[in-house]
Amino acid sequence: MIRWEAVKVAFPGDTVIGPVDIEVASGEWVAIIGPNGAGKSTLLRAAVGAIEHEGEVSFGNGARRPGIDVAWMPQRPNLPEEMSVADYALLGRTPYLGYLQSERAADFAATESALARLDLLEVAARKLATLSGGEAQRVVLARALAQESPVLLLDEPTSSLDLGHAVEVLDLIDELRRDRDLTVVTAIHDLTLAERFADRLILMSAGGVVAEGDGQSVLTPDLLRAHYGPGVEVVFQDGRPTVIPNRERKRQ
Amino acid sequence: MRAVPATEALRPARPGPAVVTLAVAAWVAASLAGLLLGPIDVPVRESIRALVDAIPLVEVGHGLSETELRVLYEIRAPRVFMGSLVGAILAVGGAAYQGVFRNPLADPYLLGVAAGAGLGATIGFGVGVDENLITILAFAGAIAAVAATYVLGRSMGNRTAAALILAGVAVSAFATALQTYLLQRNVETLRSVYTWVFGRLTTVGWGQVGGLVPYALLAVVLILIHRRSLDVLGVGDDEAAALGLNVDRVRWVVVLAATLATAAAVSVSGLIGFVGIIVPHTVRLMTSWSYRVIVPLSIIFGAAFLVAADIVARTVAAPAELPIGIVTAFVGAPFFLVVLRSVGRRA
Repeated sequence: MIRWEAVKVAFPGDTVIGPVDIEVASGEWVAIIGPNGAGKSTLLRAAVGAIEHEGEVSFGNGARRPGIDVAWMPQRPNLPEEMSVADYALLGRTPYLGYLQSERAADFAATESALARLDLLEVAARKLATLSGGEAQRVVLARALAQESPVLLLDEPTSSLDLGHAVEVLDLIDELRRDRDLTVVTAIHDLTLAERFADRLILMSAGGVVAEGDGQSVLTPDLLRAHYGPGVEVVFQDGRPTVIPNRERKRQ
Repeated sequence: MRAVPATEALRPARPGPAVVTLAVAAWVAASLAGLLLGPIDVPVRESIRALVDAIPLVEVGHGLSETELRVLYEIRAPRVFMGSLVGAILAVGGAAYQGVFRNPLADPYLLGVAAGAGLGATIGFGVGVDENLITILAFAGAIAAVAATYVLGRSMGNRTAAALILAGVAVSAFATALQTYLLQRNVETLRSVYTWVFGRLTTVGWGQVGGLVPYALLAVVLILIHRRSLDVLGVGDDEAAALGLNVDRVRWVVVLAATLATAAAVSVSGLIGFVGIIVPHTVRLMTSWSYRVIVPLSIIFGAAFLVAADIVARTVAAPAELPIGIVTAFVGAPFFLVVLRSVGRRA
């Protein structure tokens, strides 16, 4: 599980998010949605120690060990050009290695299984600079999986993937979640994908939580118009809310 | 079938035995040449016998006179060791800075070490103190400049590496301005200051070598311990922190070790340029991106490179000596370009 309690992030002269209170249970999948600049990424960064914050983030075990209790897949990762896919995924084992230690058999096994899960074994020796956008995104996810953390924070995990591959990767994450009872929090722009995969949606806007619940209660025309503007429309597909673009208003 | 390439790729980066052998051989060859060559004529064959004779439990005898033995053990040997220590420090310091700041052009000179040491030495020559005091003033100048850089960089509000580098640029410019002013006021010291600035290993005795050993050990050990952390820093501060790395601590420990050792090195040898940039990059281009390879190899190749450069410095214009900093730039820069070109073709 993961809990944000009164978490607030402020840059000099500017409060970016908060205070925010969110709790995600073990095995639950929560999608954080919201327009650009709502604070979705900042919320995730605060949880992994990549950004200073007020309030508390806890994982239900009394500890807070970045890299072990929680793994993070950043939205815009740094991909050192010369590094190989295998080397990059191995970095996921960093939290388990002391200063004088080198990777051991368990570290290689965890990394190899993460690469295998994401179908990356064949490109393991390739340099990061040679990967396509979609491959690179899967490699970053592989590094996060290699951490074997019970909480997985994914910031736009499918932004570089076509819809087919996006569904494939999210299905895989869902499978892992069930296998290992993982807690999954995804910040995601695609509202329909969010609705199809997450147990619960949290709508953020201007640094705060404005609505949460299932798709029926969050993806309402009123809420979406209020926070995304008039360009989005909700239709129902087999009774489930589906968000599509709407250009009619402009033409009139 | 699929598991084969993965298990081969899943291996921590380590320097291969061939390149380690090459590095050690280069250092041994340079050191031997440094012991055997020089403006004073000492018979090479007898010198080799004398060196073998010096190995405990080996008795071969030699025909060297007392004076010749002193040239070998009191002049050339300390100079070879000093060259090794300074070369290793400059090269490993450069590698460390490049990793910590994720900037291929970074080395300890960037944070004010060079300008501070230069200012300290210039003050010393202006006042007219003796050689030992010049060393101490250069060291004090280097440390003071880096301390100023650190305080300024931290006071800029954000604790980014860029703030620190900018502060280093400002402090260096200020120290250089002061130094130029002092030189203008004391034109008669120009020659000694410039001789110092371009570096030399001339007046080296065993005492100075011993004084540098603790700094060299400090830098080598601390940077070696952090070599994997330098790889992790390659993905940026935020991601490294999320992977459990204490980014601030790694950065300050590595920077402090590299800076302190470099300050100690330049205070005895003067400002020898290029080594901190050229050696790590040549190693990187020839072997691997990983600091687990670059750091250990830079130590050995740095030592070999500076000992070799010193041989050139004291032989090409014998009996006069060239400043070693001119040799490292004159030989190092074209060599580096050749490496860059050949790697560019291969890729």
